[in-house]
Amino acid sequence: MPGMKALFDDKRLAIVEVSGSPTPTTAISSPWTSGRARSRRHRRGRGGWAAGSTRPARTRCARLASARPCRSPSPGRRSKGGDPHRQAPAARYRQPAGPLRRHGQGDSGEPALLAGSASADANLLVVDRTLGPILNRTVDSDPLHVKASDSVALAGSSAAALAIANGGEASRVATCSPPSSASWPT
Amino acid sequence: MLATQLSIVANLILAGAATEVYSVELGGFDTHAAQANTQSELLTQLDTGVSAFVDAVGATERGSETVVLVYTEFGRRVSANASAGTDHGGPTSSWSPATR
Repeated sequence: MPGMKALFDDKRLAIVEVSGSPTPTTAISSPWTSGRARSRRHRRGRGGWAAGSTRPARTRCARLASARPCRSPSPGRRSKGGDPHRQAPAARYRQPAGPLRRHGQGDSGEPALLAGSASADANLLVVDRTLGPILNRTVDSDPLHVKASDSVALAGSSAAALAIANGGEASRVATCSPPSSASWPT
Repeated sequence: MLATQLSIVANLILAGAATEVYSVELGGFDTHAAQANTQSELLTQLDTGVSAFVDAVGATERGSETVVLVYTEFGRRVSANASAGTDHGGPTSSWSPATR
């Protein structure tokens, strides 16, 4: 993956570990992509797992490089030394811990993954502050999902794509300047 | 192709569409058997598509307003199964490449 490696080497790629589903057959991402929060209590956190039958616990994340997921949080919101959890607001990125740990048993790599990720809570806060408001907003918004089948009809047709964005009203289509075709793999 | 989907999204972003959140998808990662080749091809698609998107949007003013999150529905077990694949697992990772 040379492209992602280049971003990684350039400190432009943040990797959040252990952000998966609490159960191995359930997609944590469905509330994000559907735009439908299933209940009031599910709206409290990303992925819909903030509340449930299992007590939620903080999701861990490990920094594999000097991560800069986007812009750094404003200086006023940074934790100023010491225990970041003590000074920073609690991260909202949560998932039940029990099932995750249970699935890690018997697989020598996953406990190591969990253990390693537990050492970088401070970075989780940085990622959470940067991405958290956006991810939480996806629960309340209606994301525009571009399907693979759309690509055939819409490839190169920014007007049609804009029509979708405008709810199909072609009269509202505006002129679009697509990115350079040289940038895109064919 | 993921790259084509991302190209559409980049068009919309650069055109100033009001939509705040876009999602695209790349399937086929449920590799219970013979994972190595399939995963290699899929990760290549992911790499080229996301890299091109980051380059295209990041080169514009909208790059400072755009956040990319790459995530998967399921994690995979670390150990291979008997079919040279991997089964569903709990932990996974999410990536966030910076457009600026």
